[in-house]
Amino acid sequence: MELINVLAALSLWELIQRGWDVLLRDFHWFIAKPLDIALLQRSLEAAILVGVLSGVVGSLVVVRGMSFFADALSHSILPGVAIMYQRSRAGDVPDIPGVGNANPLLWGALGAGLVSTFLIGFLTRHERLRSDTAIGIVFAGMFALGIAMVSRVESYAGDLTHILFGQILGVGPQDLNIIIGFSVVVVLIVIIFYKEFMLISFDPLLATTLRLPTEFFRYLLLLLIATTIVVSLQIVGISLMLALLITPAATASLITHRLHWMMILAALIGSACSIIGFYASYHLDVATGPAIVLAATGIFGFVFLEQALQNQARRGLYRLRQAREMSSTKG
Amino acid sequence: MKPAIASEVVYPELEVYHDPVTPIVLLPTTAVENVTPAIEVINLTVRYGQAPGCEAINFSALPGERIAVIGPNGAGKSTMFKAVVGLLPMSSGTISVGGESCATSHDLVSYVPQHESVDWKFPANVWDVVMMARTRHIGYLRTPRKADRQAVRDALEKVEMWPLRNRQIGQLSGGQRRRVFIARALAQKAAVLLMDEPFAGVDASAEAEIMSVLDTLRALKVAIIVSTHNLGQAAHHYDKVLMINRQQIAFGPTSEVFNAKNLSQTFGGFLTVWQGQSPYTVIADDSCHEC
Repeated sequence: MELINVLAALSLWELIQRGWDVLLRDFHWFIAKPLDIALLQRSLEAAILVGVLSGVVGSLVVVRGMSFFADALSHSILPGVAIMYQRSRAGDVPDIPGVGNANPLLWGALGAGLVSTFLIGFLTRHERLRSDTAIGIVFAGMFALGIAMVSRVESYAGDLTHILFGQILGVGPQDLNIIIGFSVVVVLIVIIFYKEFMLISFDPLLATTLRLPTEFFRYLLLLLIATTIVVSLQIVGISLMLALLITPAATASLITHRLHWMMILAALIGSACSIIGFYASYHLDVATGPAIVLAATGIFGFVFLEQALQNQARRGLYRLRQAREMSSTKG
Repeated sequence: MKPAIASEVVYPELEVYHDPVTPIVLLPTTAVENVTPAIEVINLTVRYGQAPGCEAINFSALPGERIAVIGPNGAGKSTMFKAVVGLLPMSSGTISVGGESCATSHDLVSYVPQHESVDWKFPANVWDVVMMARTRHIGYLRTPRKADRQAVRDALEKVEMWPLRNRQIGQLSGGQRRRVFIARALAQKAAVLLMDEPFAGVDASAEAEIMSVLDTLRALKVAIIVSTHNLGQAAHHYDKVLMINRQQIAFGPTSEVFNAKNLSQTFGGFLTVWQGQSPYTVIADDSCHEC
């Protein structure tokens, strides 16, 4: 058994060394060249930030089983984006003090996200409706509203694809500042209220009996998810947003069984996916959003398979040992 | 781990059959007059939504006392528990904890929910779960201090879970999982512990395990209120029994209250009681425990 392990480790080491050699030789072409362009450098930075942010918030989404909510929310911000798009075409963009009119679509998305968050939160409050039903109603309604708005504008098709599937190359310098600002705020809030979030996620009953403001934290969490989605919108778009939130977090949950480690690991995996996806998209000439999501899915598949194999091996060893014990007791 | 092979069980003759459990050593009832009850519930009525309500519940528990709450499914046991810990609003009635109104002393009451309502896959280990009880003591914007860590350690040592503190909660056995939640109540420094169906779906050894932990709590003067379906256990392991079926049927010391009349009144159609010429009372319980 040990011999096989040693051989496997050696061959893996060999592989890593070879890869490293190739990387070093072609470092400029492979790694540095894309970063010569300021636009690409900016997009990579944005993608890494979004990877970290969605890893942290996505961990909470995964442990609370809110992936349907997250998916619904990312779709229901479409009307906000559509309104702001129409207004920016008409040259009638509201000026937000301090930020300027840098990215009207982002603010529209944030507005629509908040509206649907509170709508869903309100509908599910008294358990008159099952929460997935309430989410489904708001999600479908808002998404339909968005598409209806879109259908009234001609030549919208191109921009619609950007909203649905992301347009990382549209990240301007000011967008990057917004992403940095929101990421720092959201991650700080999660760190500050970590133990409260953990408590209301695991045992809301205990949180209530301890007289914690559970409703406040529930809405705060919904707000954080909405912000994360809006910020990540430009990188992967509406339809792939969910993957960025849950796949790295789910991968981390396979590896560790403590929440803070899960968040840290998910952030690392998320940013690694962003980097891998970015270079894959540059060298293989595919869209960035799908490339990032595919990287995340690949890592998840690898970890899942690895753990399944490990379990199998452990079970096999156990059986082997048992058989040996049986035969020794017989003899 | 080898699979345990069940040894041949020889059942004793019916006539000499006694419950193999050792009954509880009752608390001395003398000199009890001047002790403040750990919890006192007066005329509690809850009507809330579709949940089965309960009406006019009166009971009290002294420190260290152990009370069984029995009744058929849908009798309002869980509703009553939730109202007592403040998860559901009361329609009327008063609850006092340690002689004070519950509005000020709610963290003295700890509640262990039904086993199925907990997400056992949650990424938290035993230590994390017990530390959750300290959230209020720690306060906002702070990390656990030495006193909090010590409280968690003490609680885990009392339920003998300290060696398993790094285990993920889903990897624990049924008895161990309940012990973790009891430790959480200890870390909370609760004076009253309410447990909703802790014995549902555990085997006999886990039941004994939990019972021995409850004995430890008794020594620590924690009043324990347990809802259970196990009538044999209720008859032997508790100081007092509270029987409810939407309303209170009986409350009092087990030896006085636990009789055929009260039982058949409590369980109605779910339970048949035969009391013939023989000295035995035969009780047949046909309620399905898990539904």
